[in-house]
Amino acid sequence: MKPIDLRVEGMRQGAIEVARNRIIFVMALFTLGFLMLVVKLISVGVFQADSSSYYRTGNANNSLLMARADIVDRNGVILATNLKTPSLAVSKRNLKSPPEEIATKIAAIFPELTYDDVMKVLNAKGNHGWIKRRLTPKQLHAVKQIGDPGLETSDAEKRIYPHGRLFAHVLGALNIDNKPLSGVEAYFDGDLSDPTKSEEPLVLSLDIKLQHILNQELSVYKEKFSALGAAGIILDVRSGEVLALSSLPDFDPNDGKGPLSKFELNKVLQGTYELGSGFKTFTIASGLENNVIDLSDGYDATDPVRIGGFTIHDDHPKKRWLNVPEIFVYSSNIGTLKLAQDIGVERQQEFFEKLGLFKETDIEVYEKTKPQLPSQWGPTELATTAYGHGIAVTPLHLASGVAAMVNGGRLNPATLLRKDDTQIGGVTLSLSGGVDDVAFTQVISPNNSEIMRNLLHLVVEYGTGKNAKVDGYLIGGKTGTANKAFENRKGYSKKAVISSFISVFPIDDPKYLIFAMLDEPKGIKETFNLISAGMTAAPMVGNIIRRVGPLMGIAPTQTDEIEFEDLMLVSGTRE
Amino acid sequence: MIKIFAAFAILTVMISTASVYNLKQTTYDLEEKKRDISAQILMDREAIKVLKAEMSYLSRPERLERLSRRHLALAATTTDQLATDVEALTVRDNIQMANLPVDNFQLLLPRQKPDPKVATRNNGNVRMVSLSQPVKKEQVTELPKEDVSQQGLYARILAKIGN
Repeated sequence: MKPIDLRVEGMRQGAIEVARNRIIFVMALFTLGFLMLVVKLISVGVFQADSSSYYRTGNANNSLLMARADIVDRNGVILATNLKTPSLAVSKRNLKSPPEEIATKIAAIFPELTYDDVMKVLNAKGNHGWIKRRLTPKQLHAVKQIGDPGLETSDAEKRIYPHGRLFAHVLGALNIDNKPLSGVEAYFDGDLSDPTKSEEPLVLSLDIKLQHILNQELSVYKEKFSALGAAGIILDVRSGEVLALSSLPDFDPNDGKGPLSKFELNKVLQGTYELGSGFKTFTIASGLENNVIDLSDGYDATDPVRIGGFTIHDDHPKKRWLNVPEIFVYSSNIGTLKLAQDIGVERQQEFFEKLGLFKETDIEVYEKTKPQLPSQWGPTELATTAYGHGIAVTPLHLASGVAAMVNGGRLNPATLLRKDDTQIGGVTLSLSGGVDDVAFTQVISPNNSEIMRNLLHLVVEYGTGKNAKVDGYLIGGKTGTANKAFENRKGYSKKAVISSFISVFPIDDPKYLIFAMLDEPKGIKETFNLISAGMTAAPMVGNIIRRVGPLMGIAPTQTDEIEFEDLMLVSGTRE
Repeated sequence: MIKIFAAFAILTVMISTASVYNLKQTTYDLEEKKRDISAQILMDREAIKVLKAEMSYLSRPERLERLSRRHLALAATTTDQLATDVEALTVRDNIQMANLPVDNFQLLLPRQKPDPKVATRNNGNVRMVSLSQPVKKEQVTELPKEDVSQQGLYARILAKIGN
């Protein structure tokens, strides 16, 4: 059938033509649009189907739930981490196997559970019962192998300290609810428990190798002298970083309990002691810095001095006039207190304050103690504080102070956090003493710091610290034997002492400061029943240096020059 | 005209339906794959954490010391075993370091030293270790090189035929 050809002529024809053209135009537009869609669809559907980047959807949060950030040492060794430690429970309704069979299998997995223990849980009333908390991954796997739907595991995390007691005092511990009790765990709790930071470990300044050496030597010597306790610290004198910190007796942070008794407290940061002769370092430095003395000056130490009702003796009396190096080397109380009298109360106080001895240290834990200062500074206090009695500070106070004495005179606050290499670069030790870009408290001049280094060296070569000598290294140090005050604060014990040795090596270019102390060492035959620091603490520190030096790549020194050797009189010969 | 257009439209609809289905299916598969991988990543991370903790536990210094004492004939280094520089080890005066290209072999060296600062920042577990006593430059004596190019042609020929 032929379609009827209808035509409208005239004016109307024009109008229809226009309408048709418009329709075609619109249809063409639509066609074009669809064509574009088709082309795009084909290209997407066929050619880019496997390009995964095209379908990237919102990234699911891959981080572990509630994880607390790890704590690592300066070389990245894990000191504390969180592990999933699921607990095993039983839901009796869902049990498919007979309870006896389950109990046998479970008792085989956990050596600490007997068959009867498990049966007791399985026979108890109620549907739900806990069988065992804190499963290891292996135990969890074994439980899953049993494959009974009635055995349920619940997710829980536990803080694990792989090194146990080794870092107990620095790290602190978490209690059973994962709340921090002490140490850096408590101090940095905000950062550690922040979910957005759970992937960034907290990097401490500690070095596990040094920590182990320190801890081992301390425990060996604590045993050897049957001491009540021992404590030690290794500082980087240039940056103030704490490389090792140990206090015995310690505790196991994995137990979820902090220190249990006062003996287990951190002796380095919490214990305040009258540390004795180590303080002479400060008094001599103060004398030099205040221009009260120079090295050739000296004091008469022939007779004991009576001050405020006490008679002050020398422990190693020479009964003659002593010059400044000799006062330091023979640890003369008389000489030091006479020097302090010349310095005067005000200047002495000012110097101690500059060294930070009057306030808490800045170290990053909460459990630290303020020094116990004399309530008033009279002539007696001036005299006794000069040789470290009548003022009780924490070992860290002494260590930071002595570090400032030898590193060019800059007091670096001790820190438990690893400093960046650039920061250490800023404090490179230069004998001329140019502080580059980091602002430190300059406590003594670089020149006096060099004198103090040489004096400390003399102590080890000729004086009370001879037992700390190590072949190949130049070592400086100062012994400190302080009688302990009685608990009731009435006088001092004759037999109970705190023996400490503070040492710096290599003394010609100081890198490490090592402080170690023994609390109430008892005399043994080997030391002729002597308990002075030179016999107990000094050899201990010597041993530590003997092991630390080669390990840290400290090159042995070629020279054995001793400065100010000529100032040592009579006993100025090496024994 | 309309027929052609209709046919074209139907074809278009069929193609686009097919490709949309294909697209959807691929996406679905990928999503599933992604979920699996995410779960796997979580499990692996957990396993890595356990392994790292175990590694740290097994490499306790006290344990390593015990094992080394039992199985190895090693003792702690003493200061006698350390030397500050090469010259302390020998009496020879013309010391050549092995890391110098003494032969004609060209040594393949990295063009740039890795930047220790960048490395330590990126990865907390890796610390760049550097020698505590870097070999001093002046200790190394370079082989004297004859400067051939400066000589004239005649001199060079004479040198070649052995004068």
